[in-house]
Amino acid sequence: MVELIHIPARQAGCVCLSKGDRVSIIDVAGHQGADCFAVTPNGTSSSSPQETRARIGRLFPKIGQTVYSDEGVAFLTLVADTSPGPHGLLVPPCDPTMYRLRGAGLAHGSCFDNLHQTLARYGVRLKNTPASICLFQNLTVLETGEIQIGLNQSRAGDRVIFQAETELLFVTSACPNDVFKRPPLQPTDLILEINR
Amino acid sequence: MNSERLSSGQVFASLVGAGTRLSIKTLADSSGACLFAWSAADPFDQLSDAYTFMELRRVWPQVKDCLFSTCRRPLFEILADSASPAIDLLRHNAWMKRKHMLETIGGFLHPAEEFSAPVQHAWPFPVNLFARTRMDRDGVLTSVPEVARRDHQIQLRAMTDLAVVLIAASHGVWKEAAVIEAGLAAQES
Repeated sequence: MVELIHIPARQAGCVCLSKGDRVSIIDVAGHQGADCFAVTPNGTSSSSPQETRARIGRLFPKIGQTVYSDEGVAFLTLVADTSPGPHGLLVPPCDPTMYRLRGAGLAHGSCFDNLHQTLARYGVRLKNTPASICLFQNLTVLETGEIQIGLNQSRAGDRVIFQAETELLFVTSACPNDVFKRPPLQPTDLILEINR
Repeated sequence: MNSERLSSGQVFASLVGAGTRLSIKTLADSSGACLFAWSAADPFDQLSDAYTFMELRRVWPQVKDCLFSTCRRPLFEILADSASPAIDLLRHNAWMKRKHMLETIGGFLHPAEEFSAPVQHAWPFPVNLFARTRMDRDGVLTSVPEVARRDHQIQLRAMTDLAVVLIAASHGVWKEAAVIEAGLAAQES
C-alpha cells in the first residue's frame, strides 16, 4: 500500500512507521532541504546524529547503513538516494533564535517549531531537541575543518528512501530557511511516500 | 586555584560562576575527560556539539572560539589548548560509551541536592577533551590515538553561570592512578 503526504513549503509532516515500512522523502522542485527526525511513539528516544556518527564512523550513512537512536537502537536504514547529496548529520534544526540572531525577526518559521508542534499533535513532548537528519543539505567539511553550507544540489524529484527498523514517528520539515539561500530561491514543498 | 585529581571514571561536578576559569590538565599520557555543561538556571540550555558546529562553522574548535549551547548561547571560551586541536565534538564515544557514561553519572550525581540537572534519558552528549577525530574526503571518521601527553592543558572560561560535570578517562592507565587534574579559578578582577 502506498500513501502520500504532501508537505507544503515551511511546514512539516509526520507519519507513523512500523518495522519494515519504507518512507521516501521527495524534493518536489529541487534545492529544498528536508530536516528529518524519528521518535519512538512515547517520545522517550529520538534519532541521534551523534550516536549515528559514532557507530558508523562516518558523517552520513552509506546505502545500507543505519541511523541510530540516542540509546543506540537501530531506527532507520538508508535504502536509496537518487540525489547528488550531500546530506548532513552535524547541525541542529533551524530555530527562532537563529533567525532572530540573523536579523530575520521574531516570528520566522523554523524546523525546531515544526518538529515540536507536529509531535505535540501526537501527544509527544520531547525533553530535548535532537539534531537533524538534514537531507539535501549542501553541507561540506573542508580539510581544514571549516564547514561550508551552499545552495542545495538536489533536483526536482530526487528522493531519499529509509526503511524503519522499529515503530517510529517520522517527522519531516520542509526547511523554512530563506536566510542563507541565494535569492530568488524560496522554500518549496516536499512529499513523503510511504510503502507499507 | 581550587583543584581535584581524578582517576579514570571519577566525576568532578561543580557550579561555576560567569568568568570562572576551568583548567583540565593531564597527569598521564593518553588521558582526558568527557565534559558536560548547562546553564545553572536552565538544564535544557546544554553544551552542544551540533550548535557549536553551526555557530562556529568549524568542526575543530580553536583557542578563542566559543562552545555553544542548545539555545545558541556561548557557554565557554577556549583560553588554552596545548594539544590543539584536542576538543572533540565529532565522536561522543571517544572516551567511553554512552551506556557506561550514564551509569557513571547515575552513580555519582544526586542533582536535586546540588543543582538542577537534565533527566538521565535526556542527558546530553559530551564534549571530549584531549581527543581528536580526523575526517577524510569521504566523510569517514577516525579517532586519533594518544592526543595528549602528560601535562597537556585545556583552559576554558565560563561565559555564564554554569553547572559543569567532568568524567576523567584514560586508555590503559592503572585504574587507581590520577589521570587528570581539574581546577577552578575565580574571575580575575
